[in-house]
Amino acid sequence: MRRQLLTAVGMVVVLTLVCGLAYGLALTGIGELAFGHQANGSFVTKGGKDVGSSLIGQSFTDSNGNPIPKYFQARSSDAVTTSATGNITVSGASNYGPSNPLLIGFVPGVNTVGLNGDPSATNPFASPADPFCVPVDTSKAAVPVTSPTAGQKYAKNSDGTYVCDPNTVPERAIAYRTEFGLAANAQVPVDAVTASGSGLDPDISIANADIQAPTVAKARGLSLATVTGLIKSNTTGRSLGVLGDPGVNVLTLNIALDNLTQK
Amino acid sequence: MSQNVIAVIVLIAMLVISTPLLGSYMAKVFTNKKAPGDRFFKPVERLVYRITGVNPEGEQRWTTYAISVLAFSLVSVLVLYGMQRLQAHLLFNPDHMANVPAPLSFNTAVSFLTNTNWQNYAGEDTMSQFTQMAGLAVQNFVSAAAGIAVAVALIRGLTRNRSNTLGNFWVDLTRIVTRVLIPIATIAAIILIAQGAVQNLHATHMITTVSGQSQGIPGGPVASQEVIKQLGTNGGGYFNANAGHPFESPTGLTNMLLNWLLLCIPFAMAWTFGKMAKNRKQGYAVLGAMGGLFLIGALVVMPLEGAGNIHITQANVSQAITATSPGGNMEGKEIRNGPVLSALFNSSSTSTSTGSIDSANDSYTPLGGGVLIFNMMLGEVSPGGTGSGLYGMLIMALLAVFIAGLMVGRTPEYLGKKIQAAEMKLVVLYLLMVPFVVLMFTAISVVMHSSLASIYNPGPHGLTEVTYAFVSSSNNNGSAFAGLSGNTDWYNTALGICMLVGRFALMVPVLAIAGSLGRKQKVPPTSGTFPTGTPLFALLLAGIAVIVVGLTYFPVLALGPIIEHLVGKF
Repeated sequence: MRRQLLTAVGMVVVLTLVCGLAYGLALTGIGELAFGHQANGSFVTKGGKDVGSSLIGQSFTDSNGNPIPKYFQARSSDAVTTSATGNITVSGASNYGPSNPLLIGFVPGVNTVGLNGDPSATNPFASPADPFCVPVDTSKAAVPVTSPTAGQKYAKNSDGTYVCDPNTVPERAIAYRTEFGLAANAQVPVDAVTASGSGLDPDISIANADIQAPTVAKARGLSLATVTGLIKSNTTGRSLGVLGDPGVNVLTLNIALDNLTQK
Repeated sequence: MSQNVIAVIVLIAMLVISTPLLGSYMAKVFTNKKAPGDRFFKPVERLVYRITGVNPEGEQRWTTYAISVLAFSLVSVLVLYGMQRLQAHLLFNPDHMANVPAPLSFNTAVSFLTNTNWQNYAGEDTMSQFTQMAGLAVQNFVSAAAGIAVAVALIRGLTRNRSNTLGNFWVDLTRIVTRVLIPIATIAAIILIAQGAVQNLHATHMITTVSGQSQGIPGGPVASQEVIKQLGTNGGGYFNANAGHPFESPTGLTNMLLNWLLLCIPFAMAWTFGKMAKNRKQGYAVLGAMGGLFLIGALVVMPLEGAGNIHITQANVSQAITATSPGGNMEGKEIRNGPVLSALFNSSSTSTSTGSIDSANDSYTPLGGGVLIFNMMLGEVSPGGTGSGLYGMLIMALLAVFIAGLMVGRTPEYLGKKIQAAEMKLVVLYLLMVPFVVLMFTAISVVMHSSLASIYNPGPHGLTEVTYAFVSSSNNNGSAFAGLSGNTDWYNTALGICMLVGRFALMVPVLAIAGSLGRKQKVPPTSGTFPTGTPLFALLLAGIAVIVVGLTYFPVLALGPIIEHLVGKF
């Protein structure tokens, strides 16, 4: 037993040096020499400064969180950046189950609850604009209420309808249609109203970009053809033609637009 | 859709090519005969043996072999624990990560030791680059190698005639790491870096984005760890989002490469088994059962995720798969991977004991998530973890010949070894251990008020989250239905126990069976022997695996994913 323990100590030390340090550092060296740009994070620059990584999504919103019309908008993100993490972004997903009201809203016959908390066949918070409305409480943070109880107070709009949680898929679809001038019942591409797994998806679908193009073109005074041309040149096809889905890189597309308008 | 069909065929083709090549190569590595690359590897091995005082000619009995595995594991867990507790004072810590708290260090050390890689932390804000590279990545190599070593010991027990010894753990460990894992990992890592996975020792680079916000772009030795986490069926991501993070898997190509990496050794091990048994048909039968179960799982979950979430169609969200839109259930999934190949990845990862994810399990459709949990409940044999998949399947084979023997009144034999009471007791111990801890801890967790607070999604989905956690840790998978706050004292401890039981309470009976079978004399097959190298046996083997799981777990599956599917009108 003691002999095996001594050998084990030796083995752990040797293998830590080989599989840990030698292997990891050798690959770091190879990466630096052969693929320096990628190994260091695929940074993209604008005006000589690093403004992001072409692989890491970023948001194009103003300080109030509203979309900036002259930029294409990225997918929703559940990645978390707080001062507690020293401004490091922790990647991650919503982790909402497929029938969670925080994801799909209150869908009649699936997860709807009456005002007193009993199961209900209809959604008591529905309005013509959003039949799947999930109400929020009256606190400043406007926390969504998914388990209503008898005495609960809800935030209301001036017309008497409930204020809805803006982060459900139906609410995101409504906001998307308003933002890009679509009809009230227009179909919305799924990637535009769902959050990615990492919260850092750098891409949007081509269908999503095409819908956004007229709004961006108008805000910049460019022709639609110019903008769709840039969408094409910033689209990455499927790897090897078959693997995964084609995506439009939002960051490089927006930088290309900025470079165009500044000239 | 047609691209996805081609992509699946590409993956199958890669496996059809790699399985015989890698399987035959590994058979040579394990039999100490001449192996390719001896000129380079022999001197390296001799150096390792000299430093550690190993006599490479000295073979071990099953007890010594088991003690070596346990001693190595004990030292590993202590080193990994200590490294996390002291990381603030060690090298390569440009982001100034603090020392990891004790309960989390324990959980993480056990998790990586047991090849589970359950993660109660987010890599971005918890682990220093030193801990990742010299601690976690090292366990990714050696825990995989230890699993393979135990499987090889079982093959030796089955194939040797009246032998007291099963080989030498230290030799097996060294040869697997240097000759199998490091070469494949190095090549794959270089491809990953070329595609955009990061590999550096920089601190987080703070930049100002185009719209004027501040954003931190992380650094780290990511690619090197990413490939071994897949190849060794470990699964612990460098970052919180695992292989969904663009710096871990930047393109559709890397997604497929990582998918192949986690399947290549488990399938090849079945080939190695046939080769070492000098009876390829035996290997084919095991391979057939593994491959069949794997494909069924993958082919069920892929269309489910491609079809999307039925509850958002009423809100006029288009989930159709077209040339310009990925479609499908995109919550928690990345565009570059697409919903269908994301489903293939997570199905592969739960079928092997990997547990890495490129999309969020919790947001899968109820039956899609149900398939992922079922893949793990099979006991990780389709094709399972590196080594652990093969030994799990060989234990199933012993049960299959026993049951077949009972049904038709034939003597249970496997590879000419009589299967008797001593072996069957150990087989039953092996089979009952995991369901026992899974169901017991799940039951306790859903009646204790404090542990109920960790559940994130209401209703049957919540039960699935708890069950998933215990199935995943006990089967050393490590993937999570992330909607469960696992970083509490109860879950840190209970999941830690499950991981240890799922590893060592299975490895020791396997080695005991290997020792007992190795001592037996081979008997030539007679007309009364049930042939085990046939398609019929492969079918029986797969059937036994499914029935054992079905009988054990059906009630909890019915109350979790199945009821959610029915009530949710999916």
